[in-house]
Amino acid sequence: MCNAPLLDWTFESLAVAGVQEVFVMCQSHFESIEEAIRNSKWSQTVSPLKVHAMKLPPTTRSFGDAIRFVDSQSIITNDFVLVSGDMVCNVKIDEVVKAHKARRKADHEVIMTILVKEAAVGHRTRPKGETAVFTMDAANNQLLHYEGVPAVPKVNKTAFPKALLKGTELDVRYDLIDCGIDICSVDVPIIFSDNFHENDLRRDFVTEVLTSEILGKKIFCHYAEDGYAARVRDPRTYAAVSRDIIGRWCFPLVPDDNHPGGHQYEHLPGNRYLAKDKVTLSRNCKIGNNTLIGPGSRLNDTARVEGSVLGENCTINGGAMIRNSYLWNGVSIGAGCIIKESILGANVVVETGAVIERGCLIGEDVVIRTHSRIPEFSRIAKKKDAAPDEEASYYVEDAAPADSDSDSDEDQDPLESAANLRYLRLGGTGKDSSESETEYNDSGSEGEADVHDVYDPAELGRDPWSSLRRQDEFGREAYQTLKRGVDEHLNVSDVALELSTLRMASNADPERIKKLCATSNYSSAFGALLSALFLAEIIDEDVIEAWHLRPDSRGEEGSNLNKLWRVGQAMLAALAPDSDEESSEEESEEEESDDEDPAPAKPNAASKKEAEESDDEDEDEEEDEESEEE
Amino acid sequence: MPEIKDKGILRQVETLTSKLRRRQLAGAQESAIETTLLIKYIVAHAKFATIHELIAIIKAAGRRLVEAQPKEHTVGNVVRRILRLIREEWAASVNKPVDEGDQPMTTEDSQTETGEMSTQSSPRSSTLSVGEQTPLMTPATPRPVVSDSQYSLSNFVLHGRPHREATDFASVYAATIQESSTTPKKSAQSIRPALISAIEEVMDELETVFETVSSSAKDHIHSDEIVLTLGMSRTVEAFLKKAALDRKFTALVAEAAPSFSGHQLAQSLASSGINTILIPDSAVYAVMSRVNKVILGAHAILANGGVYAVAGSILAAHAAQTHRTPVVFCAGQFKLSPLWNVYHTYGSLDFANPAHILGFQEGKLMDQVDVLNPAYDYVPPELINVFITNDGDIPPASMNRLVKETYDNEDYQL
Repeated sequence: MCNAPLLDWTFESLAVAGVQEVFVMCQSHFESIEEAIRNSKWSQTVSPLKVHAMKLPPTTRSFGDAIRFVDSQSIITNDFVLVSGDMVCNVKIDEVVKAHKARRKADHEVIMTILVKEAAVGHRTRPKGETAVFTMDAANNQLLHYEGVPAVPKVNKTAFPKALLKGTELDVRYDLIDCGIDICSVDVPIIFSDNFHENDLRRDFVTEVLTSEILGKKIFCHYAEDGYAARVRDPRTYAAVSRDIIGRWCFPLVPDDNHPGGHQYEHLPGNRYLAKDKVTLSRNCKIGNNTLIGPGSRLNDTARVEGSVLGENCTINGGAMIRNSYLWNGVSIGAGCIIKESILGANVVVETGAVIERGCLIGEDVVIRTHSRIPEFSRIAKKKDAAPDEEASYYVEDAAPADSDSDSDEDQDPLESAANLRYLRLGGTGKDSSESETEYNDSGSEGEADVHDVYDPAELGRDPWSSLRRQDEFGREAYQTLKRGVDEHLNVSDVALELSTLRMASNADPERIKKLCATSNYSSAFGALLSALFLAEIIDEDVIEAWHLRPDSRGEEGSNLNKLWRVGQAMLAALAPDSDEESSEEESEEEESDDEDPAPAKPNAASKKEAEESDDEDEDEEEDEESEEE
Repeated sequence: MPEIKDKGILRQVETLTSKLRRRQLAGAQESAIETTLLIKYIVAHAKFATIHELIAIIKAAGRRLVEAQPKEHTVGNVVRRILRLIREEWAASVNKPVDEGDQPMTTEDSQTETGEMSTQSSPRSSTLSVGEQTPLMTPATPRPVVSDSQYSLSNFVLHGRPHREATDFASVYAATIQESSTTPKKSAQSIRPALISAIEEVMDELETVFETVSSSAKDHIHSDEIVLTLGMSRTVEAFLKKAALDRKFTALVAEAAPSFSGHQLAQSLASSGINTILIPDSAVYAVMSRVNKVILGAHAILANGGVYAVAGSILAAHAAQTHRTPVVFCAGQFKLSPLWNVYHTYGSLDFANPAHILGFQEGKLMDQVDVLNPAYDYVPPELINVFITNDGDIPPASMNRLVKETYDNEDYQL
């Protein structure tokens, strides 16, 4: 980020705020992070900030796991500030902490203060994928209801419990950036430990705390009136935060004043920053506004750079044009190249005349050959352990269709939200809405034969599991759970319990589970699951009925879905006279049919499926077969 | 360049640099006071065999501070000023036995270089361990021969030659006279209390600077005058309040957007009984025809007589120029910087957070507009009539002289 490691920006932000000790919890790339910290200025004896890097156990798979680990290590003995390692801010966190402590003193049930910043919809620094509606008490900013809003499908309404309308004035706001800075009391990790299913801080934990009367805890919001705070979540916010830094919104955290990398920059009109160290500019090169040029960089004749960040020792040759792009250290751009709105990793070489269209991500050490043209939104990286100069060692991932799958991915488009809108519209998150309409549009996962034409067929054929992989987290986890259940011959009710927990955790629609069953060949478990879920009061009759009545749920005769449908029908039939639920469960279990499927819905499912013997009542045996198949 | 070795000092320096860098410490007076405290700490704790070593340590610390926050000019100013005081104290202590100036002498090498010195200096250098000394090319304590402590314009004229030559002359001359202080090492340590008391004097001066600047207030403001000021300057505030004790006048205060610090000043003046009118910055030109005097505060005074002052000052100064209204800057002497050409650098205007002008929440606008929020204006000397300092009233053209009197040539570059 602007020629300094992002983590250093975070540390600097914390140091500005008066934080004294930082624990960095990390899992992947622990060694390199630890080394970077060890070699940074933060490890010097005079550093005001003590930084400890801690490795999370490899079993950590979510935020919840991480914080449970923190709890088990008993590092935290006092109130603490929880931030993500991708934060840039100049908010005086100490004041927020003070306010939090005052509230906590008055009321012991206050466990958390969430820092939010006002920013209207359409603000560049707003993360597209993870916005939320905050419902607060207007008098004291106590958070009363939190609802995450995904970018797709477009949601036009929000809801909050009627119980909130009890005379107090409410603020319902959608114009807030969640800065990812939380002042937490020691109770927070404990609550996480007590509720093992909580994975996400916002979606699970906050929702749980706000809805649970047993806990009786309170969460407050704090407006960062004066100051800047934002997270770098994806290439899009990377660009936005870079621009904010260059535009001095994060003052005094600006390149010419307090650069975390220790570089010295000179501030020139138009928010141009030139490193004071060995920058070579040709007489007729052009540097546009909002540009940062790192030490040792060189711009040759008629090179044009605007709105961009150049790392250390970059070389831009004659006639090249770089616009709104982010070049890391040691990038070399050949003569006449055009680079738009892209991020180029360290030591990338772009040879003469190549064109990189907007939204591309080019990995480290990649060489773009002469006069090649990289289409929009491409992602190019070098395969690990490949010979360095082999042409074939680069693989290109066409990012654009992939973007359409989930709400976290769509932000891959770094800059151009207008172009992204198309993908936003087509893609679906599938976890937020029970409306059949939106569900229907969810092209990522279902086993329906009539997969919409919007879906790129080339992509479907590429990898049998690709569609599953691209599902959101819930889909993955649910699938894993199912698979494990089958592999390890778990009792079906256990699997159902896990699934239902998962479903609660991610607030997913029960239909996802059905679809999952259909796609992943486990429909044998469907009936059992459905009944188990029903028993557990996770889904109710209406949902099943609604699903049942929908024409598309029925599927083609003989297909996977159709069988499921029949199972559901049987179950509904059993329920209809309001008969004993136990028996309905038995019935549905008995009635469930095998998923053997000669004409599967999707090519990817087909590629892995084989014919198998049909009709098996016994769950365990059935699962045996499944595992063999795996 | 020599660096600081002592861990304790290094930590103190590091703490202050990061405070300055992060703007946790801001404001001319506060920065100056913190810097003075730091140097006092260094003088009290540093290990030095000769005065040169002490000076080198302080210079190194000063260099780091200035690099950390070049826009807070007072930091460098205070360092330079204390360096000068140290040199004066040293010269005084060495000179005490004899009336004439002398040189605390340097390494054996430099002595032998200067030929004739060797004979006298050999007994002296035997008392020193050569390794401890800082190798300096020229003797580093420039003292005009004629002066013992004060270097003033009169001495300058009396001496009749530029400072640098005087220094060289002094060193040669000093070497030729019989050296009386035979144990410089001991005396370098022994002047520590004197140095500390000198630093404390600087401290006192900084703390009382507003009062001393405003001591002549009633000579500048006459009854029934209309005075215009802009933004909040504590010096101006003290100055106007002092004047109000003897005179009845009207103060027009421009609010100085976007900080609107003028509101604060207006409130303060009004509460102490001054007839105060708060105006927007845009009205400055309109009211100028009625104004008798423009009194402004300075962030830094440059050696050429130019000033960095709160943004909006250039507007007031130009308006005043048009109406031939006198422009007066009130500032403590600690704001006087030996730099003069920093106004060439664009960044020295210190562009602050644009959020004060355009709210961060204005997403769409923010994307299309680059917002600039300079903290200071550079007011060139030709727009300024006089400076009122604790050193007296000085026209811009004489700033150069005041710089020479206040700081040592050696220290312009820290």
